Amino acid sequence: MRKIAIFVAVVFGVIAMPVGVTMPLHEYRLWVLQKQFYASIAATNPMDSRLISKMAHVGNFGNSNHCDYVAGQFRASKLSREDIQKAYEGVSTPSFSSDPNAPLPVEIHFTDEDIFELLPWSDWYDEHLPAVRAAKKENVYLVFGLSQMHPHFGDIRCY
Amino acid sequence: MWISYGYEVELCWYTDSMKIILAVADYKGKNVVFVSNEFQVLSLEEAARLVKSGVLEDVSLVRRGSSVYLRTKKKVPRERELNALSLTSSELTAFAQGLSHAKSTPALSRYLELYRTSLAGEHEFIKPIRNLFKVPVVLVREALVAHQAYISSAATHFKIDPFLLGAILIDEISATLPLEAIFENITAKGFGFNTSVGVAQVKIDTANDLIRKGLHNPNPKDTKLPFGRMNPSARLYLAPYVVQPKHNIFFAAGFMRFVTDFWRAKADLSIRPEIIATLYHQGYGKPHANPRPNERGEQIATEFYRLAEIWL
Repeated sequence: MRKIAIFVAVVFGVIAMPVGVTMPLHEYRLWVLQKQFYASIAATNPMDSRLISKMAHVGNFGNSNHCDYVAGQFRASKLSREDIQKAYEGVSTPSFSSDPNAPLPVEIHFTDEDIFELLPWSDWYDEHLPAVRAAKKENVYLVFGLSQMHPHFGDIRCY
Repeated sequence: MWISYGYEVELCWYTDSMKIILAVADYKGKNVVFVSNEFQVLSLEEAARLVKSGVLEDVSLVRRGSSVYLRTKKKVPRERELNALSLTSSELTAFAQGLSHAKSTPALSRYLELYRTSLAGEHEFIKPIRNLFKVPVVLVREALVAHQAYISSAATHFKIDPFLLGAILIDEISATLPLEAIFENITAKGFGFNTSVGVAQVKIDTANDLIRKGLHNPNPKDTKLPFGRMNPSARLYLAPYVVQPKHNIFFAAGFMRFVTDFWRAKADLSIRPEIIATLYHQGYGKPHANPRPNERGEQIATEFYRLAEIWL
């Protein structure tokens, strides 16, 4: 029994290693980006908007091999689209310390825009669908900070 | 990423006799990816076929149950034995994280030394943006020209610029040498992740999306395609289609067509090759009037585009 347990642990450890050793770096970067992003938009979010759900992802959002990071919030507001857009105009967010793309522009996509029919936006939308659907009569949007084209350091999520 | 340069289709790309200079083992210790002395990355299946056809020297094919593996032939010098040429995927990962690890891995050090030596006689190199290594032009040209017919037919079918498609392929081929192709072969296979595969490095989920959009279907008779929702088993099913050079290049061309149309109302990307090249890596993006390329997109649209014009 003990031998089986050791065997399973070794096999699992070796399988997990290529993914596992690099994940903490990407997760740390994402965590920093998330923190910075939430702090940046805290004062910018329109008073008449409310948080529906938070999202943060690391992966490869296009083709080829590289790591991309996104941190965002799905929010709902009764304000007009123009007023919402105006609220975030010119706003940027710091990122993790070695990010050459920083400061990142804070962007917004309304959830009825075509982009949410395309990957990976459609996947993110689907993940938060119940919360988004609950906000029927409001303008629902994703406000986010996105940093792309970073080295993958062997993380399979970025291939 | 899972690379296949299309062994069955472009056999001419291989020479009469080849040797293994590096082998990479999976978590069970079985060598599953091989690099030839011409720096071609071979899966176990490709290597097995080359052994059968007598092209690959020093090794023989061994069957155990349903499993196949390569074994060093007797009388092969010790330094050419698979054991001496092999490293684990974990060691490769360590290398990807920090170059210092390579010195403690004899097989990898030797491989990189061979790679550097092979460059000594070369005068022309490609250095992709943000890549650690420069790549001999001759290797990239051979890999690209092998797919010339597919590039041409895909460009005609989707009414896109064949040289831009070629330039994107040059970028992907260059970026996968000399280590990426090995590393990604070992990590991508068998896990069912949404990884980039093939010569054009198309994501598996993106390929499924392009099938759904009616842009390219690798097998219209296959009723399983496209998948409604992607999961590991769907990806494992679709990947062998996507990795084939013909379909891979058609998916890449289909992506270029779609992204050009998607942006049309805001910007005419047909005259902005650097933006198409940027979006190829970054994803579709939300169309707006003033898109800006990244440095990789610029390199593709200028340096690699000129090479594609000459080679294709």
